[in-house]
Amino acid sequence: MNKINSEETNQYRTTNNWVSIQDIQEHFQSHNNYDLLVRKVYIKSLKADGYIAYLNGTVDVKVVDESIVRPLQQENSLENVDDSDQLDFLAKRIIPVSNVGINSRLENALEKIVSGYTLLFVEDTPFYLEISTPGFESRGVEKSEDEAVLKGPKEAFSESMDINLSLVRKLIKSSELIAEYSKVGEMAVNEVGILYMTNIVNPDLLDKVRNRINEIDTDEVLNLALLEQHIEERPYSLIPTVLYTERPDRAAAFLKEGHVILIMNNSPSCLIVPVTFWGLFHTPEDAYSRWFYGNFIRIIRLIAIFVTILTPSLYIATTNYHIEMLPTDLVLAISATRERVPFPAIFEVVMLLGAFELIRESGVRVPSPIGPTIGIVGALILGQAAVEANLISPILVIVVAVTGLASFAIPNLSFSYMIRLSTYLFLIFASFWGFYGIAACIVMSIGYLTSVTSYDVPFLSPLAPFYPSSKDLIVRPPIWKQWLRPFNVHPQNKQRKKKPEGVQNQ
Amino acid sequence: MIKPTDRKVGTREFVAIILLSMGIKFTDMTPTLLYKETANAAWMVPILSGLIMFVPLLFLLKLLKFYKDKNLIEIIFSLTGKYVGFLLGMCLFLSSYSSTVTNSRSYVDIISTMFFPNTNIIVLFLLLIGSSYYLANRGLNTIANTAWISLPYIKAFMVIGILMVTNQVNFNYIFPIGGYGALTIIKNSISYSSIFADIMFFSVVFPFFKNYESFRKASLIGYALVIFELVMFLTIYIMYFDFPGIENITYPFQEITRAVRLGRFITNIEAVFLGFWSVASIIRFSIYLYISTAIFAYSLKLKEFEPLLLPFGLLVILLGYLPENFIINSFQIRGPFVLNMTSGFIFSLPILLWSIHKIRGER
Repeated sequence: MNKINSEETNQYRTTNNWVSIQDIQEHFQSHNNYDLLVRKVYIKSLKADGYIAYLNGTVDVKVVDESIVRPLQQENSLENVDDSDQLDFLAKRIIPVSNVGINSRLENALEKIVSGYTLLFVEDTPFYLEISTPGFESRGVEKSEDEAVLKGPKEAFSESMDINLSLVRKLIKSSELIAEYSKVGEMAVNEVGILYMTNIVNPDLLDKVRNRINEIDTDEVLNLALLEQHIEERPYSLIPTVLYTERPDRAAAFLKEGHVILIMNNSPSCLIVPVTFWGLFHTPEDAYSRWFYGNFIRIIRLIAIFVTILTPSLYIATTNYHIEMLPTDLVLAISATRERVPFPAIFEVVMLLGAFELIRESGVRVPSPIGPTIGIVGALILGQAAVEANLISPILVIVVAVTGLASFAIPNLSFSYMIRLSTYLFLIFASFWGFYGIAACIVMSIGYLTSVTSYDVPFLSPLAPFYPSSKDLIVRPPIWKQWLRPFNVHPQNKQRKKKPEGVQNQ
Repeated sequence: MIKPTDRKVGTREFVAIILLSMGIKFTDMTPTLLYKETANAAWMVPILSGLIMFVPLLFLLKLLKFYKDKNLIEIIFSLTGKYVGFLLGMCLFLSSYSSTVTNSRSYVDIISTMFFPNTNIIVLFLLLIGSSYYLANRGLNTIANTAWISLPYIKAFMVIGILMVTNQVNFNYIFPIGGYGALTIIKNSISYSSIFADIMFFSVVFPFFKNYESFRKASLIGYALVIFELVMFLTIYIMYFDFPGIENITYPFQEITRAVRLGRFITNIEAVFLGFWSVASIIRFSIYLYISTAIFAYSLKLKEFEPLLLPFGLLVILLGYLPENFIINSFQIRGPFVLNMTSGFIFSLPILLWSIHKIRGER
């Protein structure tokens, strides 16, 4: 047995940039960092000493104890092992963990150890074993809260990428579903999972997504909400160009239309690219409800959007410029209540809308024990006292309340912001030019919306520009008629099924 | 596969542009001009004018088919040479730009008279041309898509408007059906045939359309629908106002919307019509502005014309502000001058080009 002596090994390590347990300890400053645990262990089968190292909190200690320490100490070797494949022998025969690798580089060791791996160094060996024992704390799969539905699956994504992947795989049991991993950021440790259906997704789209992620020029991206802002198309625009959802069933539905899904650790959600207006407008429940009910809800939602955008500006336009539109009695009633209010109507509207935004924001931020106060303050001060103090007219409370109520019916958070902010834009135009201004603002908004693209997919497609699709836009046809995938994402495989009989659409 | 350059204007979107840019002529002062000249028979004028303008349209389509991905100005240049080509291009530009200016002024006058009598028209002008510029600056695709999205709502509201006034019209008012007689009708059909001349101008941006086939299909469908629409509204006007009453109505469309009522309580909804009508007119002027600027830039062989949109838009406001009032604008400038002068030019241009093309041989 020509055993390499330890001095020689160390020499070998330094010259070849190989890693020893001391390097790890040095890097993690083990004299004042108590997270790094290094334990000396006698490896019975090799009759040699070894070290295992891991970071506290990143590994499952039970797995380390049962699957690494115990077998190392107890398993007996029945044969002589050659020095060169000692580690190979350990990996193959002794350690009962499925994901084990052999490596020798420091950067890799550091990356693995922070990702929940346990490293095993054997004395006088130039390599080390990396054993996957991740044990990060995470929530379980819980009910979806931000996108609740009455009918349909209630599972939501959780902060662990593995759980999220399993949720998607549970929905799409297909060999075509590919999960690529891509590192993000310069000091990259975080990984982004890129999910797509290889038989449907357009390769150009996929390349674009990969490039966009590779181009991110920052040290670290912590989660998807931040990643969204790195990869979105127009950072200064009101329009969101990436869809953020916490529902695996939505992710699966988009995957099957040829979209790309991004998942990440620390994010109870996924990102969907590209996204169109319709992706933001729809909720999963529209599809789960029967045809009539689903479309009814969609029309209600469309009305809610228009009410949110237009009610304050319509009020301003009619009362300031087109007073003849209102029935005479109503005009008299309005002017009677406005008689003692000293401000112009636009000032009142802006003031009350601002107050409403305050209530909304404080409702989110306030600690829950004092939550009810908000309701009392909001209702009392805004609804009652402000009117009695002649700061605002009562009809305006109705206008703003309806606007606020309608804005709660808008599903997606980004979408809701977009709609709420455009309310103010319309208000400006209405206060200057009445209905004429509103019309101009509508035209410009539509013009803007049609020219926005998300990963080269026009925002309002397949409506305009027109592409063949299953016409699942404002209203949807019955499920058995939706035989086409929308062409605006340019899927490779354009049909979901054969054209059903008696269907006229393309 | 996904390339922004692949995005071109398709058949539906082009039909929408035609319907919105030409199909709202019944809402401006065109009917007033026609009724002045031809009395009860004004509704026949669009049919005849349409047939007259159909001839050069066919020649133009033939030319476009032959020259595949060239636009109209390039065709003119390659057929008539540098100098004559430039001259013809400038004439085209003048006729399209002058109609943009006079039409936009006429729209602003309508808005001002009917809805904002106390507002300075320059403020109204700024919003009209400003928003048109905004659309035009985003490109032809944006205009086309905006037109396609707004089309159903605008037309639905027009239909509702018509249905709401049907109980107030009298069918007998269209008699005497001949008006001042056949000769007057024919004469005016010829001199006002430039109402439909706009259809020729789209060929200036022909390469932005998907292909020849869709361009031809959309042109023909749009053309037919526009004629139908114009005839229908002119008939409604005469049945509602009668002659000579209609002679004294400056803005028949806006007057009719005043009569629309939904039951006892909602009686004056003309402001809603103003909204939809403004949407259509902004889209209309954006395409006008876009095409006028394109003609100018192509005639001078400039590579990019988008930077010119802003100065040309401002110039529309300045020139449109010049006429003292709408009477001068509509009855002295737009009517006799712009419409009649361009009629002959637009009519003969495609035929002339086609003849040169035939004489010089199809190379």
